[in-house]
Amino acid sequence: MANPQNLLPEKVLIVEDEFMLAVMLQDILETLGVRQVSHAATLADALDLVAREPFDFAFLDINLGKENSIPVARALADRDIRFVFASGYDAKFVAEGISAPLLRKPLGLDEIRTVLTASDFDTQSGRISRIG
Amino acid sequence: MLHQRGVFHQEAGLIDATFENAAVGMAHVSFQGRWLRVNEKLLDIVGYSREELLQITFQDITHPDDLDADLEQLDALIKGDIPAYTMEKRYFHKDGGLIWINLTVGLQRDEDGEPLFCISAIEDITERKANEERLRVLVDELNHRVKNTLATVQAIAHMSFRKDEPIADARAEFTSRLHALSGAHDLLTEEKWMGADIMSVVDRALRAFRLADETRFHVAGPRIRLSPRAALTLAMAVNELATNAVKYGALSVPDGSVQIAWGRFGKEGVDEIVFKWIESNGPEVSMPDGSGGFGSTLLERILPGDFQGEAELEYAPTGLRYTLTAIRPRSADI
Repeated sequence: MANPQNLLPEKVLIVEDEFMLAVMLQDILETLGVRQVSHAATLADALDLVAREPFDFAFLDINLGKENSIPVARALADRDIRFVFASGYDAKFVAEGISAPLLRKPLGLDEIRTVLTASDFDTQSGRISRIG
Repeated sequence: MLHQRGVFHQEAGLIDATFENAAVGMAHVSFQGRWLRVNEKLLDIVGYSREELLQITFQDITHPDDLDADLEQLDALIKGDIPAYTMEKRYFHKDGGLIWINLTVGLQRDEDGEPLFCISAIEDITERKANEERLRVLVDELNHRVKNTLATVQAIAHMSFRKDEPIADARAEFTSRLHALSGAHDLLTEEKWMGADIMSVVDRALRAFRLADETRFHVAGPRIRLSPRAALTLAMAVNELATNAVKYGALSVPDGSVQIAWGRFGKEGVDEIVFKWIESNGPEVSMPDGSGGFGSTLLERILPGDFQGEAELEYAPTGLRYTLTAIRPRSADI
């Protein structure tokens, strides 16, 4: 899960069932300079996109209505793609054998920028480390 | 103690009666945990008969996770480190179910001050614990809802305050959007956040606009149950359409009117839900914020997204028309 050059990712996936929030995050990412932003609102669409597209980063809303995005997290981890969770909930069900940073909604612009360019994620603590 | 025999017997009888008939569970318990004497109320709480309970120990019916804390305090009590202790803990009822009790334990000593046995008072607090748990779940849920609402407000702010928009206009629009969000919240709170009927959502969103002129809106459609999310987004969308109509559209001219109609149409095992906003006798307009503005983004991307459907915004010569179409499993909520 390393990003040695602290580069902005090029293809980012947003998994979020609330379109209002997805549209905002997409706009923020595009403004920051991310070249391609894709959005999935359901678990099935998200898994389908992950299987087809070579993403290099993802934001996962944990709670997707009656589903949750843990299977997407596993699929991303299998492909060594960096991701963060974003949720209004506490970190309760992040602890299902998957460790990624958890951003609390509402998301801060600085933390979005920080996770995008983080040099590495400590998958044990879920902490983000940065160079410089 | 200098008592006459009769008085002594009377007092002893009274003490027995107090023990037996107390409205809390009472017990004498040996230091090894054996029940020496128990009252009716305790038998009631734990579901055992007197014979059964006297055969076992309190350790036998205490939840293993609560046992160490109890034994530690019991030890301190017997050593004389503490005069008494109170704790909340769990017992297993005879039927296997968990019950919460409030336990207060004191000590009976002999004439030389040597401890003889424990005197325990046991109160069933299962219902109180269940209420506390319900309250905790409710507070967690409320916290989640507040966080979600803040995230929604963040998105509204993000899309309302854009570089190319005069700040005073943006502020007025932002305030109107918060007002629409707040009205939808009121409605959902009345419905205990289980969802809302589409008519109530539209009515609530139009309330401020109807104050100005009731006769210009024609609203009709069957009952359709919306999820909280769909209700919130539709309320925001109706607010955008109405604001736009008043400023630039059919409601900006004397004869213009708006028809708002929806229907649910059965089709091969699914329902097609259509929602229409049709302006008549108005000028030809486009959403003034153009593409990328909050209004058009909400109508063309966010609302159809949340309804898992499609939307079309037409700038007809007689006024704006908006159509939202969504396919649903038969009779499902949106």
